[in-house]
Amino acid sequence: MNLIKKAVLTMTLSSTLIFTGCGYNTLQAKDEAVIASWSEVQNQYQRRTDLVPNLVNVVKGYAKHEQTVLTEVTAARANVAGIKVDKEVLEDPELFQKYQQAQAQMSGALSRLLAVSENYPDLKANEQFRDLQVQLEGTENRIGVARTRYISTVQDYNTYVRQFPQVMTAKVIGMKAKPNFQAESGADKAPTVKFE
Amino acid sequence: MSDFTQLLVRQVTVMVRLVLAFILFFSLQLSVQAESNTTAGAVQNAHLADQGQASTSADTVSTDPADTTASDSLVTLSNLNSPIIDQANILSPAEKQQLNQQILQLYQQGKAQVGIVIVRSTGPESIFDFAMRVGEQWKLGSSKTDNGLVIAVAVDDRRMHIATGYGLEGVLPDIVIGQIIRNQVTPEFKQGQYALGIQQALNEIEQTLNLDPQIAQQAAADLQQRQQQAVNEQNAKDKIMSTGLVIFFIGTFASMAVGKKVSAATSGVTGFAAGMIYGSGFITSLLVGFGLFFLIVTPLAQLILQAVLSGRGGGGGGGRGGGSGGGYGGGGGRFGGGGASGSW
Repeated sequence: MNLIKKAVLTMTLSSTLIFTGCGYNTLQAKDEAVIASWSEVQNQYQRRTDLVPNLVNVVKGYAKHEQTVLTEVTAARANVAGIKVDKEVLEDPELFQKYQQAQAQMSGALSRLLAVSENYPDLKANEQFRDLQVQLEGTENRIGVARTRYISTVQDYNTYVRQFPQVMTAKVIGMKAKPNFQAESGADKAPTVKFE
Repeated sequence: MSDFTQLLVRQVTVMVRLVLAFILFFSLQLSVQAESNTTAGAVQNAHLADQGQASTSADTVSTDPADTTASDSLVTLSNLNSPIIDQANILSPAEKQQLNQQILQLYQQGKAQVGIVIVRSTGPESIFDFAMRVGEQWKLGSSKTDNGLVIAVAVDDRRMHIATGYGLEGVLPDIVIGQIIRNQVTPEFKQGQYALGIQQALNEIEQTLNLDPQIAQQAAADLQQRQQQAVNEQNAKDKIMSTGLVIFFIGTFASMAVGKKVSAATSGVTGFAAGMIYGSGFITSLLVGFGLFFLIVTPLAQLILQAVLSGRGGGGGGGRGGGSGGGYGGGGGRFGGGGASGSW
């Protein structure tokens, strides 16, 4: 009787110690935090993707001749929409990279579209265009915020996962370091300004 | 002769101990009260603002011109102690007072917590990053509804940004904020009418918030809860003090019977438990517990008891220190990048 009691007590105590000591619980919590911050990033990217058709339509009405830019934006949107992302993307650095590239391409195309629209005073004065521009700007801001938060959450998670002794636990339950955003290609170079 | 000096010395030491005991006891009580003052700040704030004093008393912001003109370092932010921080000095005291009133009214109604920051330039930061930094540092808005709003103006950059907290993104979408900036604010700013522009923006925001039934409902509930909480905490603290006193006396009597250490430990734990049960906060409860323990474990308690019993206990009804509750603190609201920018 006494032996059983002791055994139960030891088991309870040691299992608690093992689970907290090896970082299993913290790993789960941090993993969940990464997923949550990722969904926010995805959410805001989705919001941008949803805005694009309206923007393209409005611009089309005023700037018919800017076909190249318009098709570029539409193509970029199709490309982004074609990549299926859920939280699995976090386990697959290659897919993550691809997703990031598609979104970067979209950012580039959109900024060119906005630059082009500077040439059309009628378009710039259009109330609907202005609203869309504000929305787009707000979305870009939100993307920036969401990305920053994702970066710090992942950093926290990755640091934890690679430390001893959690690294062993993580190996056992199959948790890996998660991919993080890198500066977009070209972001480190200052833009060149040309006067013509 | 030596008998007399011995008696004298003993008397003096007893007196000193008594004084020490009282100081200890009342400082404990005071610290508890001070804490309750800060938590009841919400209610006190309302009173302050009603008298229109908040704006004048809390308006001490360090304006360091070196900070605002430096081009390659970030603009340093002072702590939030007033709804308006005008480092560029473009608002007159009267204008400031008026805007303050408007903002405090919105805040008291629980609709939004607005913060206005005016600087000469944001330096290398974009106006959006600056506004977000302000929002994140001051944590404007309540943590439950995230109803913070930052109006950032960089006068020399001729740029401004209105950042909305998560909870306001629905009522004040970017488009609405953009329209307010475009139609109400920048036309006035162009003519140098800064106060008027900001005031019109506030009017417009207030109107939009008033139109939204959900916000009104939420605001009412929030306000009620805030007051209820302040009252509850106040009650809890009053209760714990009287309970502490009772435990103290019982513990002191008990210490004569069962020994100091046992009695002190028991009363300490009891005091702590009572504090936790009344919900007067962990730190206060801990303070009460430790206070009781030390009072009883040292000979101080018996001295106090003796003094009280022999009728010499001065009627120390400690007057409540009227600490003004700091003014305008952020409530933990979060920002996610909502809002719009404009330039003029």
